Parts: sequence; C-alpha cells; structure tokens
Amino acid sequence: MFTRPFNTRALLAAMVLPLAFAFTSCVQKQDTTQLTVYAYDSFASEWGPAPVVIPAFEKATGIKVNLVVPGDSGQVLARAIDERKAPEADVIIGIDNNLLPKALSADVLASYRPKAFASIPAELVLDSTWMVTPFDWSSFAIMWDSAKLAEPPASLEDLTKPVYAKKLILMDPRTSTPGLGFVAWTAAIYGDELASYWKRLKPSILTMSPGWDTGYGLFTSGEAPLVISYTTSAAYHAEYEKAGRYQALEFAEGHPIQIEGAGITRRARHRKAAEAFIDFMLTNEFQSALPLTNWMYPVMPGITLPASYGASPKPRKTVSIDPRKLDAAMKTALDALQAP
Amino acid sequence: MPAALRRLVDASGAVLFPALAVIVLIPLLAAFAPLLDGGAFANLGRALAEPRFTGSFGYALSQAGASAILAALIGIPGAFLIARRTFPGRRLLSALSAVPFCVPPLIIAIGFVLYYGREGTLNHALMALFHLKEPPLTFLYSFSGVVMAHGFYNFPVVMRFVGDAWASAPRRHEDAARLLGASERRIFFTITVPSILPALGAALSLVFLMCFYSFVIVLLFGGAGVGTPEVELYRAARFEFDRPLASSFALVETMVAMVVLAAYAAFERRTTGDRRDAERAAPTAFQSTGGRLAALAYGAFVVIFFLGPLAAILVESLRVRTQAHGTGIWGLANYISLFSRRGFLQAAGNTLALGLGSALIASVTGFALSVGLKRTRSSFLSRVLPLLPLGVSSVVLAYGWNMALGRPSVMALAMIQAVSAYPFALRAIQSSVGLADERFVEAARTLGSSRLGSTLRVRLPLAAPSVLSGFALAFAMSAGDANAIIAAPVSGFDTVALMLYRLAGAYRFDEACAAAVILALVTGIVFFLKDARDGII
Repeated sequence: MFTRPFNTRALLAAMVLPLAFAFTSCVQKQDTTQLTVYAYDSFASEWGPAPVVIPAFEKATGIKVNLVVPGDSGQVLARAIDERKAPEADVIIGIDNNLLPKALSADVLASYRPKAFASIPAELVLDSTWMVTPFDWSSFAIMWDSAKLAEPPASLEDLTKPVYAKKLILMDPRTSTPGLGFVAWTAAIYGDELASYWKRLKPSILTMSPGWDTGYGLFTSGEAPLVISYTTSAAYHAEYEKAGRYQALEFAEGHPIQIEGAGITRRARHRKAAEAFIDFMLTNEFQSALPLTNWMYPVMPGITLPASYGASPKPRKTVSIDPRKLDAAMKTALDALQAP
Repeated sequence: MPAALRRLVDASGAVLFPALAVIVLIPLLAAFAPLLDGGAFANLGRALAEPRFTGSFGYALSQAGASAILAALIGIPGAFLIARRTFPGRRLLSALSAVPFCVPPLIIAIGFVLYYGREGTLNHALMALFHLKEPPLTFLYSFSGVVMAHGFYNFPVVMRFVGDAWASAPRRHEDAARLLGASERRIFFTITVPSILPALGAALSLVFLMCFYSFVIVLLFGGAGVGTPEVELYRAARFEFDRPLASSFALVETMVAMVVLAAYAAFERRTTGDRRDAERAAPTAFQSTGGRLAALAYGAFVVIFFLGPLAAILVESLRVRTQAHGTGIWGLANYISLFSRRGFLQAAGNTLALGLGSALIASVTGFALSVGLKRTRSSFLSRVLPLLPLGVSSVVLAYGWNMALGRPSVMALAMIQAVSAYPFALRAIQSSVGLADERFVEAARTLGSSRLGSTLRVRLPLAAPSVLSGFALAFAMSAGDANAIIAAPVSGFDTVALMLYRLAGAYRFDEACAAAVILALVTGIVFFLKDARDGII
C-alpha cells in the first residue's frame, strides 16, 4: 500500500507562490523626484565617475538617480532603441561621435541645449541640434605593455607585421565604441584599401572582445601586449603604478578622437530632472571628476589636469571620417575578417 | 458532441498542445516574421550573399563537428572503463555526465581563461617546469580554443551514452562468438562496435547540436570577427537592427538543428531498442598492469584537463589579491565584496524567482505532457515531441519574444528557459509517470473519479518525487542560463548568471569566481537527485 508522499494542494501552492513573486518583483515603483540614467559599464563601475558624480548630483538637486548599466555604450544605445516607445531611461550616457548617426536615425533623443553650452569649444560640440551634449573626450591610441613586448609598432601598418601575430586585442565594433573607433581610424588612413588592410591585420588580432572592459582586462592580465584604448589610459597607469610599463603609442599618421556625450530620451518621464542632469554635467564638480575616474579630458576649459596626465601624449595630428560612412567601413572590415 | 470531437477534448493533448504552442511557436514564428518584410526570398538571398552569413554557418558546422569528434575521442575510453571495469572512483567518473547540463558554459569559459590562459595556472606550471620564457599554450581565442572548450565540456555526454550501451551490449553474442573460435579483435569489431554505434551516433549528434548552438563560449573566445549563427543573430538583432538578416540566421539555424535532431532521434531509437533484451555483463577488475596504467593515465588526464579548470575557479575565489598582480592570501574577502555589491541580493532574488517560475512552467507542462503521451499509442509522437524544443535555441526564442512583445519581459524569459529545460525535465518526470501502476488510476475511475480528478489525486502524488526532480532540474538549468537574459535583457532585472557574465567581462575575476562558485552550488543540487540525473541522459 502506498502512502501519499505529498499533499497535492500544498505542492501546487508551493509551485504557484514563487510565480506570483516573480510577477510582483518586476513591477517597479515610480516617483517624480527620480531620474533613470543608462550608462556604460566603466562609467558606472566603482572606480568610474558614477560613484563620485551621481551622489554629487543627488546632493545638489535632491533628485534620486536610478543608475542602470546595460553594458558597453553600444548596448546602452541598443537598449534605449528597444524601449523607445516607452523608455525606462530619462538620460542615456555614452553616445560618442561614432554612435551619433545611429542614435539620431533611431529617433530616440530629444533636443536640449544646456545653459553653459557657449563655453564648450566649438570642435568638441557633437551635434549642432543638441540632441547630445558632450562631456569628455580623448584620442584613441594603441596601448603597449613594455614588459611583454620589446619593439612597439610605430604605425597602423606595423601592426600587420608577423612579429605582432596574436599580440593585438581589439573590441567588436558593433558593441564597443573603442572597437568602432579603431575601424574609423583604419578607414580614415586606408580609405578604399580598407578591406586589404584588415585582411593583413587579421593574423595579429588575438581576439575582439565584446566591450572595452573585457579587452583592457585581458591586456592588463598579460594575455596580449597591445590593445586599442585611449592616450589617456597612460595617465591612469602613471597615477597608480610608478613605472612606465604601459604606454600609449603615438603613430605619425595621426589619431582619431572620441567625444563622449549624453542625451535626454524623447519620451523621458522625468524631463525636468533630465535637463538638470545635462546642466550638471558641465559644472566644475562633474567635469573635474572625469580625468581621474573616466580617464578622459573634460570638455569644459579651465579644469586643472592631474600631474599623471603628463604621461598622456597629445597626438600632433588628428584624423577623422564622416561618421555616416562608418557603417559601410565596419561591414567592410568585418567581411574582410570572414575571408579565409 | 460527436465522438471524434469528444475524444479530442478528452485527450489532454487538447489542453497541452496550445500551451506548448504558445511558448514555442509564438516566439518562433515571430522570429521568422521579419523575413517577410520585403520578400522572404529576397531577404534570404541577401543573407546568403553576405560573407558573414555563410562564414558563420561554415564556422559553426566545422567547429561543432570537430568538437563532437574531440568529445568522442576523450569520451570513449571513459565509456569502456565505466561499462567494463571496476575501480575506485567509477561512480564519480560516471557522475561527471551531469556536468555539461548543470555547470553553465559561462563557468567553463571562466575556468578556461584561468587555467589555459597565457597567464593561467597550466602555463605558469609549464613555464616553471621547463624554464620557458613564453607561455607554451596559446590556443585560447582561436578555433582550437573553442573546440577544446566544447570538446572537454561535452565529453561526459559521449561517455555516458556509449558507456550505457557498452554495459548492455549483448553478452550472449560475444560468448557465442568466443566459443566458435573468434579472436577478441574480431569479437570487438563485429559484435561490440555495432552494438555501441547507435549510442555513439546519438551522443555525437547531441554534442554537435549543443556546440552548434554555443553562445557564451563563442562570444568570449570566438576570435576576430567569427561567430556561430547564435552570436551573429544576437549581434544583427541587438546592435545592427538588421531584422531580416537576424531572421535569416534564425530560420537557417533552426533548419540545420532540425536535421541534426532527426539524426539524434533516429540513433536514439535504435539505442533504446537494443537495451531491452540485453543481459548486462558485470564489469570486472583490470586484467593486466598495462590496462591499469592506461586507466590511471586516463584518470590523470581527466583530472588535469577537465577538473583542473573547475578547481581553478574554486581556488581563485578563495584567493584574495592585495594588488592587481600581487600574490594573495587565502580568505573569503571575494565573497564578502560580492555579497555587499549593490544589487547582488536583488539579483539573487531575481534568479530564484525566475528559476522557480520557469521550473514551474517546465514541470507542469512536463507532467501534463507525460500523462498525455502515456495515453497516446503513438511511439513516434512520444519520442519526437519531447525532443523538439532541443532544436530551438534560447537566443532565437529571445529574439522572437522581443519581436512579438516589442520589448523584453521577465515572463518571456521564464518561458524561454522553461522551453530549454523542458526536454530534460520531461524525461525525469516521464521515468516515473511511465512506471506508475495504472491500476490505481483505473480503480479511482471505477469509483467515479473524473479523469482530471484521478490525474490530480492519483497520478500526481505517485509521480510527485520525480516531478520535484524535474522541477529541480529545470530550476538549476534556468539559474545557470545567461543566454536568454543576455539576448533579451530586461531593465532593472539582473540575475546572478548575468552578473557573473558582466564581472567576467570586466575582468573582475576574483568576484566572478566567487559568483561562479555560488551559482555552481545552486545548479549543482541536480547532481544529488537521481531522477534528475536520469532526466539528463
């Protein structure tokens, strides 16, 4: 004779309860003194700007910030586009000069010209319609680990040499802005020869990581001695490690710059709070936090740079391409990598 | 009511098929729908003309083929040992078959970086041992790195499938051949090999399918510009907003998977057919020192190359680094900083809720379907239906739900994970619903209980332990799954697996390892549930 091992009703109840919990846990509270900000990983990490500037903003305005981190900048924009009909985010941080055309054509942003707009140097203004307000910038550069590699490359062409086989870490241009920045760089230098350059470069690439965090982590843990990053990454190492082991390489052919900005979503639920945030981005408090947390140059003039920025080379030549041509360049580069 | 209609309504299939259709067909059709935008053939033609598209399938097929072969090479000696020899650690070796199902691929990926990376344990050991300047192992981040990870990760599947078939290979035939004077070699090739071939075929096609659908490992180690269709679909949908291209990936990869699944079903049918009339041969002790040494070498190989990366995670999680590259001291600081991380408790709660939700869906539909299948006489249906969800990837489903609902949702995540876990949960449940004595149900029916009543009051309590095992299995698979939530992230809804992916991505390996250990403890519960293990293989 079998004994009933379970009370059927209790068993069913035990199964249904957690589901009810699952439903309730996805309902979120709303408040008018709140602001939801989407930011990329390294901005929001504990050594990034967020732990400094977000509390400062909350203190100055009394607005409570809900910071969400969908991933690298590409993923931030992807999420905002996903949700464009009913955005969670009021402000999205991390739209740079290369992502701008995609953000504009996806129609996710609303225009807002901050009060201090006139102080931003003209060459750093991302968008004349002020859909996006710039807050910092830097030059892309290859970082070199001098402890692992004796002879650094001196140009993009050098990177294709057999001595650098599997020595270079890049980021996927579809998901990461430095990854896209590198494609823009090669497109600016090689133009129509882009496909053949990427074919020659392929043996040198160790991997294309999904985001900058991953790629730079691989680099500092010694998986490869070269990585695409910023000239200001050298300042970071100068600040925390005395020796000049990690250096930013200056290439004579010139470097592209990245200008990072933030914008307000078109259907933002907390528009006033979002405007306050954009204005706050240009204050001394926010701007002076950037060099030592985001490791970029502030856009506002007159901010004193820390001494470690002496290690960051200022490229003599700047190159750029029309960001609208970037999609085609990216496709060319990725297709070239597919070829056997 | 006409009799035919009545039969249809009576059959629990009438309740069940719509339920199954909702959670599989809706997202699947929604995933294919964007193909029609501008003509299905034009879109497919454009996709086929893209080097990325064909390159991705070429890569996935060759990678999955090579991985399956590697898994077979490692798995077959183990299968022999489990089936034919007695030795200490035999049950442990056999229990490894749970690893590919209850250790998430993300954890394997982290273990591989820690262990096989240029700065990994193995390279450091080899460099110290042979006084090398450069790390000797550099295969990670390449085709061979992906194949290594897949092959090692999945070899227990081959071992278990083939081992089971080997153990039940018809002993009588071998004895008869021996009596008739056949050499051992001839016996092996003419009797043993044919009896294990179907199992090998089934295992190879299952491993092939799992590697073909690999997502996280390829995302992290794929090398430059190449990705499986899963990865390319994810990129096309989430970052390029090229929906027709994403849908082309979804359609073609689902078709390929269906072909592989058909092969799996064909092999598997022959495997189970053989098992029934087998006289099991008892495993024996080793007959020679050579055999013993070979087995020892095999054991060492498995420990060094398969368990090594997993152990490296545990070791790393307990090592506290004082500086970025300093040697550390032992302690729990990584766990403490993980627990005190903002959002960790919320993520743990979300993991629990999502896991319980998808386990509920998987076990309820699993129970209902196994009762329904017991009533149908069609062995084809009862074999093929439970397998179908294996051919649909969670990335395709996630993409489909995004298309159907317009935005990611937690309910969709639960349904996606339920579908992925469902074939395995169903097998765990079926093993007991199939065995339960029909007389109890019949007695209840004669005493006037309705069909639903008899199912709920008699069948369910009888099957309760195995339903719970199926529930636990589905829970573990959901808790360990990061694919669905990477492909369809929901705002403000983090899980431990997603957190682990981010930590690993940001190269915060100390905390990532602590998170991996926590997650492995949760998913590892399946290890200790026998019915759930039966569900796995």
